[in-house]
Amino acid sequence: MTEKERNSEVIICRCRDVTEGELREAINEGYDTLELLKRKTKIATGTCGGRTCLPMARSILAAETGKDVEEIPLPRERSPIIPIPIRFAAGEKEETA
Amino acid sequence: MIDKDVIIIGGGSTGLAIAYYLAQKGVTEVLILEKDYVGSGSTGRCGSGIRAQFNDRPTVEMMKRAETGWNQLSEELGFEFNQSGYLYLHYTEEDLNQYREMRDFQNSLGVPTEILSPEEAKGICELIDISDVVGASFNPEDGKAHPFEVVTAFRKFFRESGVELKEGTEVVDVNLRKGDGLKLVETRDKTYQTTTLVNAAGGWAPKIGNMLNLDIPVEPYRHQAIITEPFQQGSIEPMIISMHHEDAYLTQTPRGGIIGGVGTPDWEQPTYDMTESLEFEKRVSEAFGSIIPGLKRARILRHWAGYYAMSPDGNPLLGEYKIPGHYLAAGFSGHGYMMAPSVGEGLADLILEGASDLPLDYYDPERVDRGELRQGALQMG
Repeated sequence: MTEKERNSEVIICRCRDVTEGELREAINEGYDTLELLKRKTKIATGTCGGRTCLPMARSILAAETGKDVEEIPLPRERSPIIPIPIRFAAGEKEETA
Repeated sequence: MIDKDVIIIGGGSTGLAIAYYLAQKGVTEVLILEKDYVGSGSTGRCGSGIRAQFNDRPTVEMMKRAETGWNQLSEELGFEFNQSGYLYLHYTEEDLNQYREMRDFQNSLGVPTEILSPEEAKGICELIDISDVVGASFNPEDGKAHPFEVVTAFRKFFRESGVELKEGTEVVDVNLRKGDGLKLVETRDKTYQTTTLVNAAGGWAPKIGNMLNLDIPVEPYRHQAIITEPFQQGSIEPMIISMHHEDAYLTQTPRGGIIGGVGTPDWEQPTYDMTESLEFEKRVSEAFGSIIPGLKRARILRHWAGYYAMSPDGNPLLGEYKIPGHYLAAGFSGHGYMMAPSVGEGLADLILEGASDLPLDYYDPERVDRGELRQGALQMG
């Protein structure tokens, strides 16, 4: 097994179970920005909000497209910063929950 | 010299569907110019719902055809159109009676809407709190399709069919050439010439209009939505609507998240600012928790804003506008995504044949200049 084959099964996004191989495949199908890759593979849409997967996905994208990491824009951050239960967003206090 | 037969500005569901139907009718010398990426505007920000439960004949006809179109597209392009229905919950007898009349009207146009008892509504989604519900309306042919799966499927089709889709390509100017009236569509890299230009730029349609010194009566209103973490997979199949809870709508995505929103408050003004607001997060949470108490435990994962591109009467502007060969497909007022297949088919016919069997006259954009405003289409969210 080559290094690339071994890496292809490495989980990059553990919220959505996306592997390095799946990311490379999507990039080669033309999903060659993080916004597109996010929507195609669902990386960065889980509980961690992309904190875990985005830096790695960005490096893979840079390697596959021959760009510098800094040239690749990050997707827009979304509120809330950490997932919050609907009851708290609605104004309920913890003790009544 | 002409570069393309048709140039479409805007790579959202509307522009993509028009290009698709042009290609189906044999015209593939088509260029779509998208300033960001496919679906990056209102399409990718929408709640994914598709319904024919409207209260005026043209919209019901457009949406009935659109649902047939969604079925065909899902088979031909390979994405899921889940006909899990739209379930309107009613909390007063007055509302229920109004929707009984609407059911009769929709039935007369071939839309199989039915009125359900609270218990029957609970049979469709067990999690609904029916203690204050007096009845519900349900059309099993309504449904949902995931916007990104849809635009992705179109993108793949265009790669294979010869339609050119240029993403990351902003139109910076449009001019008419003196003499022959050719449209010169300028991007940062290149200027394209065409006889036929379609403005399908959604909330940004007026900006394109300005380039041609046209005042396009569309205003972008911010509209927000949320998605939760996956929640009891398969538990909320239909799109659930409650006019009683600030026009709330919610459903479950294929991956289990609950997606939806509540209506835009009256104080919202037209804006190009797409920043989300905490005030919305509170209102949507109160509504969702009241309709389905179990959702109080669900955690909000993301919250975003998009546009309802409002026309003066809340109905689309479809057809040739002011300049021969210049078409508008804009001002959908919150219904552009769901209507895309019939708009695509209708505009393709209008461009190629000069006529369509769909009720496009109703949506003639020049009605606004003539002061012939229509009844607003039934709005929510």
